[in-house]
Amino acid sequence: MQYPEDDAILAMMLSDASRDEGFRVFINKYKERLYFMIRRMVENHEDADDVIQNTFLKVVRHIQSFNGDSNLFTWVYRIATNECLNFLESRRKRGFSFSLEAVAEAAESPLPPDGDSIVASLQHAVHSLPEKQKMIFNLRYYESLPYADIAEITGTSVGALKASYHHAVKKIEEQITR
Amino acid sequence: MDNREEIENELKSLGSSLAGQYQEITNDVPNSYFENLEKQVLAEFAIHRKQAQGSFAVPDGYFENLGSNLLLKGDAPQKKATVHNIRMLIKRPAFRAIAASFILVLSAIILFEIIKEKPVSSTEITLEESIYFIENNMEDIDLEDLLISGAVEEEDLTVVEHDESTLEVIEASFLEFPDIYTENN
Repeated sequence: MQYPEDDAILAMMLSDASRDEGFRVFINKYKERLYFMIRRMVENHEDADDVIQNTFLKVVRHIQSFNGDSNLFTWVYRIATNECLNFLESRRKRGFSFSLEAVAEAAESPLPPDGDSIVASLQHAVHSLPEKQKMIFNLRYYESLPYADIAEITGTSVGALKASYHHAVKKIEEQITR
Repeated sequence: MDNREEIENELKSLGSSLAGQYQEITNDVPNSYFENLEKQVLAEFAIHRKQAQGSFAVPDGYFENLGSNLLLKGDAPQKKATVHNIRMLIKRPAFRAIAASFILVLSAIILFEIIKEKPVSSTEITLEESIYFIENNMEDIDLEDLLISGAVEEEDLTVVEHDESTLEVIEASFLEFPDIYTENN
């Protein structure tokens, strides 16, 4: 399905006359992409559902304060990544840093139909990365984002991002070939 | 060159076996989840919007005077409130139980440090005597004083909450030092 450009969606969301329609289009355009980005971080569907709803609500509630310094897409991703990291932090504080249920779900669900072992090993290796590094790896490897966008989303310099991503690749490589 | 190609080339330059292995992975999602998500979010937002426009009565001039009223209040009431909150926390049975567990473990650690500094003969103290000592000297330690002085943080107490029973921890610790300490039967 073809969706309008972000600028057009933003204009709709900022106009009283088309605000609700703008939100509808915006949510439909980004829901699947954002969901899978969040799901890779929080690991199970229920948590991903909570985080994506909070993300969309924040976008809808604060759209008036979006000043256009960045593009809409990176602004939304920034909100989503912050929501993910805050969620993981609060889950860790509650003492559920890596629930058995999540591990079991992560071990089963991401496997492709043919059970390709390298994909399964990759999933497990990515899960073992520290949260921020996992976020950077996911944004680069799975979301295929350029470093400039990831820098804007995470508020980190491109140099630091590259170092972190390369380090993550190395760690994953070590785990896979172990 | 699109981003995927660039990422693949980068992986190749890093000599990673991930190069060429990329697969779109979509975790299982409940049926119709995405169809309903938009409705859920918009319904939530409608509730939020109603609440934000809610009809709570506010005295005339309340918001105009709020800033100056807060400035007049100063720091003293905040300190009072903090002390009050600590007292309320201490009154909670769960907190007391956690605190008691923490003190028991702390006492055992201190006892071990003393034992390590000055080894005692295996005939001097029994396991039962040590536990009896800890149990009968716990009252000398005032948790409120420890909290207020900053010697103990609340986070320290929550760690103990997830441990096994305190007695098991102590007994296991005793068993780790068989040379210094053995049961004298």
